[in-house]
Amino acid sequence: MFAKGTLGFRRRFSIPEVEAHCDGPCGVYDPASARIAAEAVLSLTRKLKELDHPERGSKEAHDGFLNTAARYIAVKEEQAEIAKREILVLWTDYFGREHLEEHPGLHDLVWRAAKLCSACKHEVSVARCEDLLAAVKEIHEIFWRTKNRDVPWILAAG
Amino acid sequence: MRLVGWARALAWRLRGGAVARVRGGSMAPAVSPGDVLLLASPRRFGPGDVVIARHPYRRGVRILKRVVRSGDDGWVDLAGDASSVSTDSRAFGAVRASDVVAVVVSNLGAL
Repeated sequence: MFAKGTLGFRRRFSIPEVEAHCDGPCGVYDPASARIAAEAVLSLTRKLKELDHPERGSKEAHDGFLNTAARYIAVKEEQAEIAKREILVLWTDYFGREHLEEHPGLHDLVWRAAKLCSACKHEVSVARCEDLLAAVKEIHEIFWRTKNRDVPWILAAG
Repeated sequence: MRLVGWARALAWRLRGGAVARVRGGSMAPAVSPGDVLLLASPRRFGPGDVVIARHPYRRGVRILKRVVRSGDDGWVDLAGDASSVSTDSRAFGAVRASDVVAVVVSNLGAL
């Protein structure tokens, strides 16, 4: 009886909601998508480094080498571009003025991370890729701090 | 303080007034997400007043904005205080004054 009465009261006293929103597609953001792409860039760069040039191999070996290297490079380019886009989406669509006040280094961090995406395309450098991953980790930490959540940094590659 | 807020909201309701809870941050810093507002019917309002209006094209959605212009033509311009996270008259133009359904008279804060 009591519970029913309380429920009735609560229903009568329910508070309707009003929207102080934007209509933009404010949706699901997560730096994980940038992290996965950055990890792929690192993985492909390592694979490229491990390829051996077929010095005295057959024509088939040479063709195979070229084909494999070209595929690694193509995917490395693509994933670096995806990483850059995901970073910029967080920057322009998620982060707002209030986040920048709390984290004044955010603009510079995003700029550095985006430039590292380009550097990973230009170079075949494991160090650059690790720099990129480290920058994405910094973005991850700031992102989850803005949501007051403690989300661990976990890599897909063991 | 929360108890005082609830008591004020209840008293307002018992006297026939309406209350509403805010979602979203487009009226920051004056109004924060989760704040409870006391509302009055929109007999008189003008530039500077915070009002609740029917969204011009999202059915059933009530929006909280500030009046920035209300002409004699029966149309009003609305804007969010936090303009970078607000969809308002910049996007959907003026709204009919008759679509303003309430005026905010008090902000009780988060209850």
